[in-house]
This record gives sequence, structure tokens and C-alpha cells, in this order.
Amino acid sequence: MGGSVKFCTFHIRLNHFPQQRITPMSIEQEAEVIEKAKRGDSVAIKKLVDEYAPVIFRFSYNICRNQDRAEHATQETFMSILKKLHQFDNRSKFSTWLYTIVSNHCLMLARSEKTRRTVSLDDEEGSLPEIPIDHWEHDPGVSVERADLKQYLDDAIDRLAPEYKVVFVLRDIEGLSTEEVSSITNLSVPAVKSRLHRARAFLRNELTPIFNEHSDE
Amino acid sequence: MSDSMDRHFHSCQDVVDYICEHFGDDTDSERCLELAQHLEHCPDCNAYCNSIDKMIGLYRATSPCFSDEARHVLLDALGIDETD
Repeated sequence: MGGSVKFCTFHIRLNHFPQQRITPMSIEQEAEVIEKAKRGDSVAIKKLVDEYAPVIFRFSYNICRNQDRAEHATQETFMSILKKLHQFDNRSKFSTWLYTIVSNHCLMLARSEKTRRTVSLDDEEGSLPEIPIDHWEHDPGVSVERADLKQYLDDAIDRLAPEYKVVFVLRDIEGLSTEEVSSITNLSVPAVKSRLHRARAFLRNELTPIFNEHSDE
Repeated sequence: MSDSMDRHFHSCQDVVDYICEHFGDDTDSERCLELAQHLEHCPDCNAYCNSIDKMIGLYRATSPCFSDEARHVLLDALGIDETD
């Protein structure tokens, strides 16, 4: 997802970093590979692994922020996908179907971890909390190699409830549209926007101390 | 806050709320035009908008790639021979 994302009438650079993305096959190619994979064709299954396992892994990693757990979740999810592949009927995009399965799998795993300490952001019907408008002076591009910054990022997103994390990861990290996130999560578009609002404001606020601290260096 | 902003945004808090909800959206609405004008003249809101961009960029930048070893383990678990 290099390039820029249009925000209103101007462009904001959203990502300057290379990512493993779904390499788009044509609709016909994808349909052919899926049909072959349904019949157990190992070459087709390998093609699906090469196309989509990196996506599943990245999504899982951003939910759990742990490489080993993300690899395990990728394996579990992919086995589930192959078992359910016969249910895929081409009425939705394959990537949407895939994200639905991996989202549900990650939510199930997250909910089973009772030791996780997340912050409740619920109250979707109520008013939104006031957002502090403070500056980030420090350039995060310089800090991206810093181990403590990664720890801050991990800790912040770890405190976000899984239901909010999934929306944030799908919309902002995976770059899906609000409508696609709505379809995958089975939430209304306003509910997706509400969760996105709270998740972004929460994460931004959680990360503020390290940027203010480093701006004094 | 300029007078031209009064129709849609009554305060900088309204602006950052809008940014949090709509960042990354692709729209040319009148409200977005007013937002763009506001960001040009309000350093606080402009900085907030940039910080959301930076935050998302950081999370993207710290997403590791799926390793060859993990791919090998996955194919093995699925019973797929890599040499096929």
C-alpha cells in the first residue's frame, strides 16, 4: 500500500513503508485457483498460501502483536479456510471472505485470553470523550527502529479491546474501506466509524507520552 | 476558528472528532473542504491530523513480513509438498 490515500480534497501520505499485500489475481484466475483448491489440487492450495498467508499473518500479528502467536493463528486460520473453502460461492470478494474468517478467529482467541487487560471504550450511543489536542514534535520515522517505541506500540494496542482493534487493523493497517469493514465485522457503517473514532483517539493518546518525551531530547 | 467554519465545525474539538472518524475517507464533501481550509490555518488541528497519519504509519511499519520458515511450517501443516 505505497502511495497516498485521499482524505477530503487533499492527499495525506499514509504509508511510506513496504508491506506484503495481496497480489491481485484477475477475477478469472482467482476463481480458477479456488475451484482447483476445492478439489484438493496442491499447486492451487500453495498458490492460495503464497497469496494470502502473508495477509492473514499480518492481520493476526496486528491483533496479538506477537510473532509466534500470529504464526500459529495463521496456521489455524488457513486450515479453517481450506475446510470451509467449499462454502465460498463467489458472491463476495475472496479477500472479504478471508478477512471475515480470520477476524472471527482472532476475536475468539482474544476473548479466550482472560488475563488480557483492555480498556473499555464502549458507550457507542453516548457522547464521545473529549480528545486532547497536543503536539507530537518527534519524528516517528527516526524512531521506528527503537525497541522501546515498538514496545509502546505493542502496549497501546494491547490495551485496546479486541472489537476495536479489529476495526482499526482492517481499516487503517489493511487499508480496507469502511463499507468493507462493515461487511466483514457485521457492524453497521456508523458503528464501524464510531469504533474507529474511539480506537484512533485512544491509540493516539496512548502514544503521546513517548513523543513528547522524545521531543525534549 | 474562522467564520467560514461555523457551518460545520464549532470548535477545534469538532475538527479532531471529524479527523478521528473520517481520516482516510475519499470524499469531496463541503464539510471536508471546510476542514481542509481550517487545517491550513490551525496549527493545532493540522498537527493532530499529522499525528494520526504518523500513528497509522508506525503501526504499518512495525508489521513484520511472513517469513520463509513460517511458510514452510504452514505448507507442512497443510500437507503440501513445496516441490510440487
